[in-house]
Amino acid sequence: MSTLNPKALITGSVELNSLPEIFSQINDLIDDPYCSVNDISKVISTDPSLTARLLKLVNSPFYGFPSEIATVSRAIAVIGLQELRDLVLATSVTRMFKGIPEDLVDMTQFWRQSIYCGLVARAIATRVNSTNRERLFVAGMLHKIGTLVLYKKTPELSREAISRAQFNGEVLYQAERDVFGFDHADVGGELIRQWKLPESLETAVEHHLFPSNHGDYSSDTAIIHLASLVTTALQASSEEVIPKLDEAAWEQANCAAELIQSVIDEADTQLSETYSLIRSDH
Amino acid sequence: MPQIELSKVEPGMILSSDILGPGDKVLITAGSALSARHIEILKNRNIEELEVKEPEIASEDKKIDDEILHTMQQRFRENDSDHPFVKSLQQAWLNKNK
Repeated sequence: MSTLNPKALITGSVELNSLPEIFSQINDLIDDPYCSVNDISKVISTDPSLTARLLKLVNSPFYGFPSEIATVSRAIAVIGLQELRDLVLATSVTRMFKGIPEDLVDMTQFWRQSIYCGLVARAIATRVNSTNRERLFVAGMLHKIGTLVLYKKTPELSREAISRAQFNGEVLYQAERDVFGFDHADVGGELIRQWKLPESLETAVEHHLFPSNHGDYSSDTAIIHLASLVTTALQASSEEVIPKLDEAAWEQANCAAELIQSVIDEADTQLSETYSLIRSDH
Repeated sequence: MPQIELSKVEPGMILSSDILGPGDKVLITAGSALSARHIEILKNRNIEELEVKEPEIASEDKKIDDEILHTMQQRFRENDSDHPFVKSLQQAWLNKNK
């Protein structure tokens, strides 16, 4: 077993320990009580590709607003600041993690699966009347981000974990624990902490494998747990073993089993379009 | 070769031995796909049973089914198949993989 730990992996890396500058600026402005929507719009407008992605997203069926939203300030007025922050985060984060060896992960596949998880989480949220739909979309998108840190920082050990999972038929997180002494959820939680993102995102990502083992009974984490199982079952490689369902999380999420198929149908329908909206210049 | 009652024979089934009429004259040769008309003729001649081939396509399907079920069991082996969530997920998985 190695002497690595999630914190050391991230803090030692300039590239990983902060989000893109534009996101930090927007994040700080949103938290600043003296700052206006106009100030935030100005910052976003300095990045034409971000502006274009945001406007495309708010005008897509993902939101389904009846009339066209032509400006960033109008977009903020319609979706709100908190959601704007989440959207900027979602589109910024898919542009990080360049240079990971291709045999470890196909980035298109990775983000397709992650966006799928976000869509499943959002579809469950709709059915259980959660008010955190967009936040859950982002949490779902980030649930496996820890694997990218592992691939980037420790490609050799990651290869070992992947082949262990394949050849021994282990669940991926178990193989990671064997090799690293921790798993991708630990790393993902640490990354989000370093990025100073909202705590609800951090705990949902960090505890998504076994919410109740962490004493985490929040319904957000429970929904991400279910969404991650659906994603592994339906989108991951054909051999990957599906982690065990956490019974307490199932009860906490309070989603009728009969609704699962409609959740899946909704996510299936939205996947390709949402993927191209979020990663439009890839 | 399964021997089956005429009332259960359906058009499209493949005959596996000749059907003989009066004077041992061959009425329908082995290997023929039975038509609705054939079945009617056999009924009129009071033939009660005949031999048909195991439907090959169906057995091929069954082999694939077994493989699919095996894969599904492997992938879901950490989970309790009687749990309502796991059941829905397995059904969705089958819909995608069949």
